[in-house]
Amino acid sequence: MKKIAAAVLSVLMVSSLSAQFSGYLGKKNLVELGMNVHVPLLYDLFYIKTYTDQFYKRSGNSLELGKDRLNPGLRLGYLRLVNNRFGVGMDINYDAVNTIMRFYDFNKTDGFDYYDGFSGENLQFRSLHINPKIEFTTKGGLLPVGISHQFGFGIKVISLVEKEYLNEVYVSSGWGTTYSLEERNYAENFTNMHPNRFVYKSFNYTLNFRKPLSEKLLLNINFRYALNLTNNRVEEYYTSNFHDHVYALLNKQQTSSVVMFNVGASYAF
Amino acid sequence: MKITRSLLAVLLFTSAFHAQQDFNNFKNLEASGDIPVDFTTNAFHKIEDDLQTGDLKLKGEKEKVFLEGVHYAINDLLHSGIVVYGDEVSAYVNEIADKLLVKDEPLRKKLRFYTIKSNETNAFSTYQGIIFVTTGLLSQLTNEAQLAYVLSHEIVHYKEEHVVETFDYKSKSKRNKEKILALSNFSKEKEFQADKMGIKLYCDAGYSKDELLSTFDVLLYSYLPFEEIDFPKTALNSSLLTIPEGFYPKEKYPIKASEDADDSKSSHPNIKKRKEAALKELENYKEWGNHVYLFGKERFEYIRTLCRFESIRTDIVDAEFDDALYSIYILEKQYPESIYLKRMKAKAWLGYAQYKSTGDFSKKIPASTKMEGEIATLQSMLKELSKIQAMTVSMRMIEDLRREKPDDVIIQAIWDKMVKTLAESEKFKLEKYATKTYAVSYSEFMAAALIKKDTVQKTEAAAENLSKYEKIKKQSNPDHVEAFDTSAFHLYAISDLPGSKLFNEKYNAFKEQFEQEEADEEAYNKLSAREKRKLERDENKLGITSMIYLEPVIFSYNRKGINRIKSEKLQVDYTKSVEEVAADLDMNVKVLSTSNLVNSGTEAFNQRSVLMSYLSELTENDEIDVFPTDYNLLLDIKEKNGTGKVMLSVFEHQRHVEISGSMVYLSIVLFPIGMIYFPATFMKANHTELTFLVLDLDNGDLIVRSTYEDKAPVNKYSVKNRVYNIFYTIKKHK
Repeated sequence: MKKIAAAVLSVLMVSSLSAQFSGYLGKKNLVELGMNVHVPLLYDLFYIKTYTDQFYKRSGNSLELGKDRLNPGLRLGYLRLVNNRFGVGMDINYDAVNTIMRFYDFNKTDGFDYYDGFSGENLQFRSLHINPKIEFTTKGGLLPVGISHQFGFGIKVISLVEKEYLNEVYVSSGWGTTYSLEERNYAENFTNMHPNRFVYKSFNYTLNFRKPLSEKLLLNINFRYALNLTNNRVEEYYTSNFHDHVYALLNKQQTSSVVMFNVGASYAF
Repeated sequence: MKITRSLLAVLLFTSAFHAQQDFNNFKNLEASGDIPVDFTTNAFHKIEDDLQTGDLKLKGEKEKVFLEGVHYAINDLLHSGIVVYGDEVSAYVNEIADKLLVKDEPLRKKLRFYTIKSNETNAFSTYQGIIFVTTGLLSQLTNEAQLAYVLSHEIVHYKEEHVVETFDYKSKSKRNKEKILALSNFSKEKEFQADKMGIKLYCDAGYSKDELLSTFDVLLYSYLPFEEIDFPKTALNSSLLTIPEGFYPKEKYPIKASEDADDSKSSHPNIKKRKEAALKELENYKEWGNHVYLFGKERFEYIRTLCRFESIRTDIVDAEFDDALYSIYILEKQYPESIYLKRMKAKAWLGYAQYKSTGDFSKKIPASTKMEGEIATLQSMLKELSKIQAMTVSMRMIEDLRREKPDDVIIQAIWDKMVKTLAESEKFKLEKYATKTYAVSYSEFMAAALIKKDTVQKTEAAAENLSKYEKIKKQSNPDHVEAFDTSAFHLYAISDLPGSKLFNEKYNAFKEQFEQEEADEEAYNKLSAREKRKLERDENKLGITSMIYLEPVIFSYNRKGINRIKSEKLQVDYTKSVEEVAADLDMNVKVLSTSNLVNSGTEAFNQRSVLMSYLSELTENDEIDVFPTDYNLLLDIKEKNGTGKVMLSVFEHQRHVEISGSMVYLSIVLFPIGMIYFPATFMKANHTELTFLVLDLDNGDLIVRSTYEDKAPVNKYSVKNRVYNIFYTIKKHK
């Protein structure tokens, strides 16, 4: 029994060597640069499905039906390792965002009383996401190598790209069974839309994976799952205010943009 | 010219004479000279070279499988720590090979001969052209001619490419009973061929026809010790120890080996068939030499004695203490003053006592039905002794050795460990032991018994006048003479120790140490989680700045099992990382690894072998508190490297994607789940486990044992990062 007890103690004392904090080969700071890729699968699946909610792309002076396939972006990050399993930092993401455009202003059609259809070029935005974060790895892990988990809470400011957007309106005239259908194209310039910024709060979790490539560089791959919230809950059908209308369109896009893929490199110093 | 030759011969003889070992101060076999390329080349390089050469009969996938199999198996053996090169035994074997191949220089140049420190009676050749000979084989031989014939046989195996042919044959057939029989026949054919063709080499070298067949007898009885010498039942008795005869078997155990054993599933034909075939073949040669020795009987006997001395060490490392004690008994007849034999004897008795105390000794000794020959007398007695008897007898033996050699630090260290074993045992109660010897106690008892008998006879005469009730009382408590209890012989075996100041001091110190450890554990258990963490943090700051790093054992798995090539490449990276990290952190780390043998040379190879053997002893005998068999060599290593701290590590990695069917179904039904599940599953596919140990050679204690498990990918930089962290951690001061 004594032998067993002695052995137990000796195992207890020697087996739990708690690793001292050494960073990545002694380096405790990381700067990260990466490319974001957002594939708006959910947005495509749930919001772009009826003939009124089609995603139109501009092709020369006309529109053609398309899909919002891929939104690229950039990420610049910094991580300070606090111990072997924990770090704090901040990410700045600059991403492209697209939404469909739906007809919103009856006055634009010169008072015609019946509209058979409206097609609007997709609205393009740029999103700037400033995201303070904490990062940790599970027991046994050694940040920054391998799998880690990040939780962030940041502010996302989305701005509409100011340019002329092409619209196509189909106008019916006449009564009863006799009517004519006319297609009218016009460009609409949102350059003067003020304010053209839309603000979201973003709670996000990132599943992160780093593989060392050299003594200073690490390959970084991650998937970010975000919940984007805003105080503006206006419904697009109940407003004639263009800013609110766009907000409503963007809300749908943002609430369905839950997954972002990022690949990049981390530089340790 | 003649004068020069004579001078050279004298010089050679002189150098050989000086090189000879003094068996009273025997030093274990170790590698010597330049390290051969076989030992320094990585297996993956050997495979690449062979694939480029393309000389092999096998092609395609079969070629790769074969090369990977043979190169890794042989590299593992070369690096196992039991193979030596350039030593006296290997040199002798090489010289005999020179004679055998004097007419075939190209073949001689292709072959390399090394010695394996193993008690298996074996020799074998490999595809690479290496022929291994075991010390066990050399211990069993009776003359040089027998060795020459064994070597001839192995040379033929290489020349005729039997290894490749057998692999090709095996790979063509699936395993079932008939195929196994067919394979056995195929293999036996190759053995007959090697026997037959080997005779030519043997004959051409000038060896005697009369000695050839006796080689087969060596093989037949090779499972027995190297000599059959009577082990008397009084062999261990002394003035202080008497082991009663009842502990020994009444009769000797017969030897059961048969020449005509069933060989239907064997790779080799039975001895009878081999002898018959060889006898027939002998008649085909007319010009026989008459040499039993080309290098002299003395040289052969010297080499054989070296191997026999070495075999004792191997027995102890393998925890075969019965074999070791019997071999020591044989060798002490010729070398009664050998300090090596005395030390080994002390180790064997200590190991025996330790195994007996754990109850595991029965696993280390043959069952009574399988005991054979003279050694069985000793084996049977060792088995018969109870735990406490075994420990007491061992203490007696080690105490006798300590008294005989009081200045020997190794025997003293073994003695300390033996006392510790007694102090640790709950069954051992010092107060129960007599302070008189068995012989004295027995005579006193017999004298007292005689007086008692006399008194009884006198009182019986008076008993006639007793009443009915007094007679009944007397019958229930008769005054008969009791017999002396010989089964308690051990209680008299250390009669000198209860009064020994040295023994009492040591014994009580160990007792106090164990009590303190119990108290420490109790105190530790009462600590809060936070206090425990703090304590552990402090304990872990070891302040090690200088150590020996023994190469990591690395297993990288794929779906088929171990990916040997990847594992070996990782090992190379790991070793480089250790060297680089040590330089970065300004630590003095001596790396003993197969990856850097080219630079580190034979001394490092020998040090590595000793440490590998010690590691093997620790892992194979984890039930006991091992006393290192190579204790003196470990002390040398410590002195040469200026540190007694040795780090060892085992690194395992597997990349395995585990996809759950139910999660796939859920991902289809609830699409967003898949967006989290699949990335997480692929990222978590790496499973890495690293265990590392730091041993203190001063006392054999494990001062660090730590395991890390994580999901990190594996490449040279991630490995280096982990090594950096470990070194950084153990370097920290308290």
